[in-house]
Amino acid sequence: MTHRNDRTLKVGALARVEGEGAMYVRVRGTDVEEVRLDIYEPPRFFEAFLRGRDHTEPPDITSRICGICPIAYQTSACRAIEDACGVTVDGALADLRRLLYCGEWIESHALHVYLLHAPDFLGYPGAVELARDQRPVVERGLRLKKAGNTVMEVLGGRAIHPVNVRVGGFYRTPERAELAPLAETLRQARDDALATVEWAAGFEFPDFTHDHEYLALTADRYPLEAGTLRSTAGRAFPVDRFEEHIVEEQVPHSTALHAHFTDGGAYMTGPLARFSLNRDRLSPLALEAADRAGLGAECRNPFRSILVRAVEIVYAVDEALRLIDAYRPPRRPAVPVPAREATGHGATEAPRGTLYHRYDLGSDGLIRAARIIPPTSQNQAAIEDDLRRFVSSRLHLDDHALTHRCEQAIRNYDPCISCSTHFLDLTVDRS
Amino acid sequence: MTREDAPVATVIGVGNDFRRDDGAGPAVVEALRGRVRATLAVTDGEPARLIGLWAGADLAIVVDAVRADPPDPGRIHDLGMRTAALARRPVTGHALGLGDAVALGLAVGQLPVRLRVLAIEALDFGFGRGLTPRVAAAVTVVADRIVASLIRDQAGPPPGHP
Repeated sequence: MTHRNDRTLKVGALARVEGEGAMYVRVRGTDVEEVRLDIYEPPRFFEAFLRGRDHTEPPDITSRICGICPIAYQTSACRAIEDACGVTVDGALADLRRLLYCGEWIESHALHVYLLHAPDFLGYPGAVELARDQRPVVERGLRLKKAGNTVMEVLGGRAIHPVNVRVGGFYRTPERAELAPLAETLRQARDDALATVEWAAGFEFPDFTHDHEYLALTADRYPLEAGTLRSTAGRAFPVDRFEEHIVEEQVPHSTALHAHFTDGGAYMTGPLARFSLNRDRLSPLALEAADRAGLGAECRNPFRSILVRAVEIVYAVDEALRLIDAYRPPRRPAVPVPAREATGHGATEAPRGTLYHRYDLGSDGLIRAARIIPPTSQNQAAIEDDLRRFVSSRLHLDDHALTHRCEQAIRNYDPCISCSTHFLDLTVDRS
Repeated sequence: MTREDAPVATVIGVGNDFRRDDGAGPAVVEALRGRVRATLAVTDGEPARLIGLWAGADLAIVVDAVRADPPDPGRIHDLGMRTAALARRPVTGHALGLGDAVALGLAVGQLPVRLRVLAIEALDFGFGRGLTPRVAAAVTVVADRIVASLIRDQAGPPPGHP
């Protein structure tokens, strides 16, 4: 006879996450024996087919890894290649990169907050049902997302896999007048973003905290397109030391590699880490919104990540407006980046966390080796650890309720499975 | 002959041309370039983007590749809005699909006045470029069908009719 508390929970294809993966939880008595975030989407071998390509190609090739965060891939790639070639992109070109990156944060966060995550807190099975009951709320989310898309269209040429980014800068840079309509759109978006924080602050959050070491870029300003790495445990290292501090390893149940510190320590990257390490670098408006939402010095409850994302939307909109206001067109759209035999490293803060690229270039300018470490694969071990502890304290729930809560817990991380494969279905086994 | 005041249609190809037959929608859009007076767009099927492309349009035609069981590659399904709303299961690995976009657009009042979905049954959604032969042939048929219907639509009613 099977004991009531020996059970298996399975979700064959996780909903409201990007890409294909599954969850499996096996419980015996009061012990959670196994928790797996199965990533079965097939690997795409980007690192392999980058070998032999010209040093100018990674921004266009790697942007194809993800339709939600192509700018993160393009920017990390550009920075790594420029690092290898000893070229610094600064001034108006660097500001335009940051502006474009703000657009991606706005559209990616708005998608997750409104269409993927909020239904969990409001008791709806999905965004469509939420929209039927609360039309103005979802309309606000769609306006925000469109504002982000517009930034990407104006600067990137199109919203999906933008075509205007190149190593060294851009193919074409806008005139000041071209950015004026964008500023108008963003002023409306700023009101929508502030309303989003106020709305999300009213949600009920499960009582759950974790103590993962947080890792994120830090910089003079809130980190997007540049910075050096710091952790909540006091680690600090530049991007070119990334692989000396972090290793990836294969696990049997996942086509995504698991990452940890070389000393064995687990860590987490993403909005919670970024916010906790850089709160004081938010703009006054975003900081005020965080204060009003009750977000203190650190955020340790992954369910409150929706609040942090909402604050980051405020920041991204505010920062985009600052950049547009200060913009003076550069003398040329890109700086030359002649190839040389060297290794370059680049890391930026994708919406889901730190995205690292490394390229080894030959003297002929061709890529000898490439390494790409996306945020979801870095977070996979932390997600599984959260799930294990989350399930342990909620074994009194029936399978249906527990499964639903587990899926919600996974969505806290906005996992991008397509990015990480090299990933979701839920199985809870109470055998 | 096209009337000057005829409403401009939007044709949206949904798909990824690096995933074999999933590129059928974008291929139809390519086949329409220079042949129709319409706004042409390619997107990945993410609902907010789709809604942004079709909101306010008088007529939107969405072309997408679909998976059917049993499969009949190249078979064309000409769907209205209601049928599309039933198609809730996304074909590709995205968080939300075309069916969600239609349902979401309906809920927030951001659908085109008229929506037509042309779905092409696909065979291969694997990695790489190029359509399988029967899907490629269907792309030509769908493009021709759209050209013909837009010419009829934009010519307006025959003289003497309101």
